[in-house]
Amino acid sequence: MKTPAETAPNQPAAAVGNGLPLQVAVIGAGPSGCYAAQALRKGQPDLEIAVFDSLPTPFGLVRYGIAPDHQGAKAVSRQFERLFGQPGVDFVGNVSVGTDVSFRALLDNFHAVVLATGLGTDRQLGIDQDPDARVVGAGDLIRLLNSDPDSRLRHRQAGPECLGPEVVILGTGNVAADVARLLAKSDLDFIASDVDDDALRAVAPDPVRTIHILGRCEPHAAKWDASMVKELAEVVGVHLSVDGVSLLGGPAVSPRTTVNVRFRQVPVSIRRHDGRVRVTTRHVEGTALVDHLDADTVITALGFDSPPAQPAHVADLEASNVFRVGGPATGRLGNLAENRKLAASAAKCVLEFLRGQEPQQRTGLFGLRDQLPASTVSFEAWQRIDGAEVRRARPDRCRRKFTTRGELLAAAAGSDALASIPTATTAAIDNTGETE
Amino acid sequence: MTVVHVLYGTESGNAEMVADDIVAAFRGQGFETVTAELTDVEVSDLAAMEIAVFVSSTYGEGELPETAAPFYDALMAERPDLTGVRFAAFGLGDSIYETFNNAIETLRRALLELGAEQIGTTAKHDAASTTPATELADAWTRDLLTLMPA
Ligand SMILES: Cc1cc2nc3c(=O)[nH]c(=O)nc-3n(C[C@H](O)[C@H](O)[C@H](O)COP(=O)(O)OP(=O)(O)OC[C@H]3O[C@@H](n4cnc5c(N)ncnc54)[C@H](O)[C@@H]3O)c2cc1C
Ligand SMILES: Cc1cc2nc3c(=O)[nH]c(=O)nc-3n(C[C@H](O)[C@H](O)[C@H](O)COP(=O)(O)O)c2cc1C
Repeated sequence: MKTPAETAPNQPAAAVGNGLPLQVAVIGAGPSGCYAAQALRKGQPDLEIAVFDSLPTPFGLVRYGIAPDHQGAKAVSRQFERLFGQPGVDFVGNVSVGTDVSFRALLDNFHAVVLATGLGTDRQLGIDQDPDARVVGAGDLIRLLNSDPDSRLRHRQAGPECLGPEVVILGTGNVAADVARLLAKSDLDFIASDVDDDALRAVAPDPVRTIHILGRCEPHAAKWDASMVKELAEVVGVHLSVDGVSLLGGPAVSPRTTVNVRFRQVPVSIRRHDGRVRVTTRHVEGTALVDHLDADTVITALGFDSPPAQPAHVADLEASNVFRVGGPATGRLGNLAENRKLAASAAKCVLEFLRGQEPQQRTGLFGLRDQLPASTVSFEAWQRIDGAEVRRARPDRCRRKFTTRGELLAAAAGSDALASIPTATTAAIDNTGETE
Repeated sequence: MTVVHVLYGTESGNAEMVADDIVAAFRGQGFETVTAELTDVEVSDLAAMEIAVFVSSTYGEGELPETAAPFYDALMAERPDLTGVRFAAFGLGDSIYETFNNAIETLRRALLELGAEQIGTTAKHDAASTTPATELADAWTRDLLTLMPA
């Protein structure tokens, strides 16, 4: 263990010869990027770090993934607020690397670049599937309920579509449990959350009546935490059964929502059937035993991939001073604890790399100043968004997020008045979510 | 001047932030401090510490976080005599779990059993509350400092 002297701030062992600081760019202000920046600064306090994000807001899926009724888990963002509060650490929001600023420009201006772009897309099922059957990704749905301005479900002419009274969720991980819980909850269950009430009302005007959760695996191999299943079963009005056996005693008198979990079910196809969807499954052990399940919507909760639209030269870039954390390193989204560990070890590699170099002078963010769009969101500007969202919350909600990039940017610029005017900027946003 | 050891176990980093807050408060009062994640602490180091502040979150169903469990297991296996060690305890948890803040209780009980003496009250931060952990840490450390030898 360390002596007091050893825990004193490191000497600028790796500072450039002329005393100018080392510059690191991080692409992605989600937890992986923020944890990496945090570990880099702890290891080398005089490093200068710029954290870029294509969204106008920091924290990635802490803001747009972790369920809105799990504010305790979202509180990790307080660590990241502290990080960005330090001089020498910048948030560079609303700047997409590869589009607004080239990857090359980062390599030219920084000593090292950390890729922390996450895995932005719901994993596809890869089975025979009607293109017009109603199938929704769990990530997209939770982004919608978390007010992500880019959620694909938001960008229909008529707004988000109602899921219907009966849904099938494919997958038995924590994200599946999050979706089931959010759809089974009533308005009162969202007290102190920051759920997007308008979006929730649009997709589930009332708590969804029947939720089927299908998993391929054996019950003991399900990826969700026991506490997540318990939390779902404890939502008032919910009756949960697993393979036909009621969890927590007998069936409720008149459940508002029934949740049926069935394991060892392999989806075979998804077809349209009488205006609804029909999921055909077979039992994991046989090929013959085929079952049908009809519902209004299928929700896939099968993990995440990197978006196909991501510029290849960002995802595939190889250079000795490019490092990866989170999804781009492992192919898995992971949870906060895993990503924190990955980020800490990547930060060690970055610092080792920097110490081993004869570094040339790099100007960091300053060198990019002429290339950054005028609509770049600083951390201070994010704090204006943050304050405005908290101020405009319903009394029984902790926050009401802005739901379009236009509103977010108006709030960033400090015009709360503008921000309260409902804006219809969807036309200005293409389906990849980047403003034109 | 007394050296204060701030020892933390964490998974998503909140306990490390609290440890930083506690260190800042002690340093502000002129104390010398040593910070360490519990993975980097040997049980044999403990007996020589005058004051150890334990900071730990809770995981699983009331278990210690990954970075604190090996230390606890070693402590229970080696059972050193901790008479003369004074410690303080700050827990982080979330009241949506029935086993709210169980890990800091587990650590605290073990330390008391081995003869260490607790100073101050056990803080139990609730992530589901609106109080930031930093705020509770500041208030708790201020109280703790009034109980400290100059
Ligand atoms: C529904 C749901 C619930 C979850 N609940 C929990 C939970 O309770 N506890 C837990 O530990 N974990 C939870 N997780 C997992 C957690 O959200 C992830 O582990 C974590 O967010 C991954 O962090 P990341 O930084 O790697 O990716 P992300 O959070 O996705 O961040 C990546 C960031 O990179 C940005 N980006 C991408 N491309 C570019 C580019 N070209 N230029 C600039 N910026 C770019 C994106 O805008 C994004 O902000 C949950 C996830 C989901 C989906
Ligand atoms: C999978 C998981 C299990 C948890 N189990 C408990 C628990 O049993 N009791 C509790 O009080 N808190 C529990 N928590 C909440 C954490 O202790 C809380 O979020 C804490 O702030 C995390 O601190 P850390 O960032 O230092 O790890 C759990 C959190 C997660 C993600």
